Amino acid sequence: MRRSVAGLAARAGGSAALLALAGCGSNLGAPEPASEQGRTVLDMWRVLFWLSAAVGGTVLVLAAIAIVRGRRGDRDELPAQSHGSALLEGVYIAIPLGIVAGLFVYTLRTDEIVNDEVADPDVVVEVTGYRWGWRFEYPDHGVLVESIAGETPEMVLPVDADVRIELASSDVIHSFYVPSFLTKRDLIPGLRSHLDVRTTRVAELHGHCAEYCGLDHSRMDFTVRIVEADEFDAWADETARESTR
Amino acid sequence: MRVEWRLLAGLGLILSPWAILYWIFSYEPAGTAALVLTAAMFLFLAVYLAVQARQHGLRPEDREAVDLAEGAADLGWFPSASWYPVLIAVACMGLGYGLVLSPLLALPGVALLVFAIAGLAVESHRGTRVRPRPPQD
Amino acid sequence: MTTLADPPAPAPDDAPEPARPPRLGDGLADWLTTTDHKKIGLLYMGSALVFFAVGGLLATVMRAELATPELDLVSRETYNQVFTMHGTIMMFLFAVPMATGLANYLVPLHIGAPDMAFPRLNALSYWLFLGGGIVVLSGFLTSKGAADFGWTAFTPLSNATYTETIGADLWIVGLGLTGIASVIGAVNILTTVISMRAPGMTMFRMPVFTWSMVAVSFLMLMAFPVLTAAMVMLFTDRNLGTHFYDVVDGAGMPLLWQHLFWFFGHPEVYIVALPFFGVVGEIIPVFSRKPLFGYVAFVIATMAIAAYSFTTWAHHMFATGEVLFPFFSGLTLIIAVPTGVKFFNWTFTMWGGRLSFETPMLYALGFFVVFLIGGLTGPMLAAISFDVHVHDTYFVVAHMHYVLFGSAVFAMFGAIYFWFPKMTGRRLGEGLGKAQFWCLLLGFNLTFFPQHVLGLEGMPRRYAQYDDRYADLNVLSSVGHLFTLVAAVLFAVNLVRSWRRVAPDAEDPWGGHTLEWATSSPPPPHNFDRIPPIRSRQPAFHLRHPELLEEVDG
Repeated sequence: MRRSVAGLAARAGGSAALLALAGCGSNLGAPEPASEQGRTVLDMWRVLFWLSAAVGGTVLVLAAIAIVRGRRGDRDELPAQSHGSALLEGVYIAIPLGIVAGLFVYTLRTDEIVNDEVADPDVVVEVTGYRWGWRFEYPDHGVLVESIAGETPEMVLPVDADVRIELASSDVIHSFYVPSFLTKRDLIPGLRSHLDVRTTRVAELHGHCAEYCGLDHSRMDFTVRIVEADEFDAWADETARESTR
Repeated sequence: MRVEWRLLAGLGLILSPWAILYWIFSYEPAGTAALVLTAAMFLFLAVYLAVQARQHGLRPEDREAVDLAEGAADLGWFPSASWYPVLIAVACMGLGYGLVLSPLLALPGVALLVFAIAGLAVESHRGTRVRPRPPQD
Repeated sequence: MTTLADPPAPAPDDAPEPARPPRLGDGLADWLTTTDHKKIGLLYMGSALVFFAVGGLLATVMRAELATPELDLVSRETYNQVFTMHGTIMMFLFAVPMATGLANYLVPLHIGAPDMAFPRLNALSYWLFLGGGIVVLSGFLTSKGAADFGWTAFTPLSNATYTETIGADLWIVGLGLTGIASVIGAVNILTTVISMRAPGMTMFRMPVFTWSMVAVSFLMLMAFPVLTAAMVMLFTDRNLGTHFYDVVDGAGMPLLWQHLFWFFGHPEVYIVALPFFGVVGEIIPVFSRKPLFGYVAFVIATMAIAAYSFTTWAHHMFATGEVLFPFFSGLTLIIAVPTGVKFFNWTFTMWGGRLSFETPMLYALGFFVVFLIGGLTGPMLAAISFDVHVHDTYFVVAHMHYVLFGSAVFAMFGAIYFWFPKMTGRRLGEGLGKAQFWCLLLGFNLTFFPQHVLGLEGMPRRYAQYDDRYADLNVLSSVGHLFTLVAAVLFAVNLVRSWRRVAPDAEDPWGGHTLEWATSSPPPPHNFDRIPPIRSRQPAFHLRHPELLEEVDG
């Protein structure tokens, strides 16, 4: 691909504008969730963002006032040499402590909701990650999807369903990451872990390996296609038949 | 040395409960071992300094209103220059390359290391032979 | 041998030797054998800047590759070595040695000591660091290249099965050497501060930079041995057939590496940041013409950060699903509080002061803004469910560069511009300095702010090629890097030009508060011909303004 300076400059300018817009987008930069858990995480992101903006803004305003006021006056004259105030120090220790305590409770509550497990999931997918591809097995449907060189493997899921994704690795640590689910889970050799998602909308999602695993770490993408329940059943039947041929 | 030993005791005492809580709630051995040992090290240093503090009492640098003359004393020996530090480092590099590439390479490294460390120790008794050159302007 | 109370009386017809900055022409033997803490400090800082340039060039390679989605500049093998070594160099061979160099130079001066407690051990620390750095970098000269498993070297990827290269073993050995250097240095600093303070220099009169280095020394003392142990185990797994990190069904032994590495790794980032908090705590009061607000709170906050930094390591491991979440989330949030306290210390130091904005102050303020942003994304990452979404994405890359670059680069330049006159008797050009500052501020933010969004959108770390959807922000980020390069060039030019110009006002151009400003620039071989009486936290200031002494307590 030819890189022209003008082209790059134009894209840079456009990106700057996009960046500003992205910040103002309703998701504040995060993807539109495709799962219930993802929606909870997105809500948390909004809280974190605005809380941080408020705290940061306060500090910046205080500093700006100090700087503006401090520019006045004769440099050769020494200002009052104050060096502390027990009251003020108490306040600016207590307030952050309070904020942090509140954030802690909120975090734990959110975590509980996101990690809430369904006793009987609608679909189970067994995911095996390896260098450098994926295997998706649906034990209840007899379906097997395997990475083929040059193609991106696709995981198909029904919408409005509780899906359990079981994770295992054949070699090194990988990570199963679907940005639109706003979650990921590491695949650690020797351990079995799982991820529960409740799908909420029909969509085509992209997925990445998110734990550095060597040479082709950036060539391990996959897709997740969420479809209506009947379409999912049809796909499962079709794919199962193909596997047994 | 009062401030010093209390500081270290404080660090050790902050960490100890977290070490215990961590073990109780996780049974994870690696982190627990690291936390326990860290807390123990801080407390160990605190005890040592506390004993020293009791022996030495308040030194001139621990007192706020003190005459500079009270600090007049030999502070110790500050060797002006020495070849042994760079020799030790070179020896360690040789040893390192030896470990990676071939044990045969490691042997000269070990020999040089022994020589250089011994030299460093002997230098403490005999004084350094190296004299820094007076600045030439 | 040194006595403090009797400076040598100059003989009638030979004036005392004028102190002059060390010259490269002093002779190789002189530099190789020196045990003078000031020369060793300069060696550290000079070497750190060279490593900074190397690490920076590696960053240039990355940003050039990432300007387009396809892999079209370097091979995958090369790219993996580049980001591994960029992280390794910046963390181990630049940031920590730079702070160590500053500490080496300043701590004895700050407390009124003639040198460090163990001068030859001090020299050994430096040469071991340099030797270790050379060993690490020599991986590039091997046929299969340097280490390529990320600066975090997770197992099983870093074991003998998946990484067969010698470069990896050289990386392990080299970092073992630099780790030992740090531990020795920590012992030296602590002994110096405990045993060699001048009369009247109580612990609570020491400059906050020295207090910060005390905390850093505690961290180094406790954290580096854990890294060294982990590295030794990795080395023996790779070369001697041990099984420390083997995969054991149901037990996940690879996680052992992560626990050990991060038990070191989290204190490590405070080892990088704390010295520079201290630097800013020295600069802002001088340019506000009043003392640091809340000195005692600042010191206690520093020690609280040091203590709690040992308890937060597994917040780097949330995505594994295998760690004690409430423990690490809560403790990570707690650590935000003392860091926040420091921001209020700095702000209220400026409040009611008379401010001037020479280059050191600009850099201190640059640090303030940049670290504020980085410090705000930190507690976000303590929120477990959010962290899991952005773990291993460019959001984390953005966070860590905001905090690390804010401290180890912005505050570092502040330190260099502030203390260059003291160390060399010369002045760095103000015009070039300010131009460099604005260029760096723009370049840094343009490079890393977009990466927050990239991470939120899902772009993973350590990817040489990526989806088209991430392209626009990557271009912006790469353009930002160009401005950073310009800033680097401006600094190099400033440094070279200034080294030759003797400046008559270099003795104390800023009106410094602490003890190093009460001696010549540069200081004589044993630092002080005559130590002023120490009656406060700002001995040099009160030497100039004795009438203000009564106002101050202690």
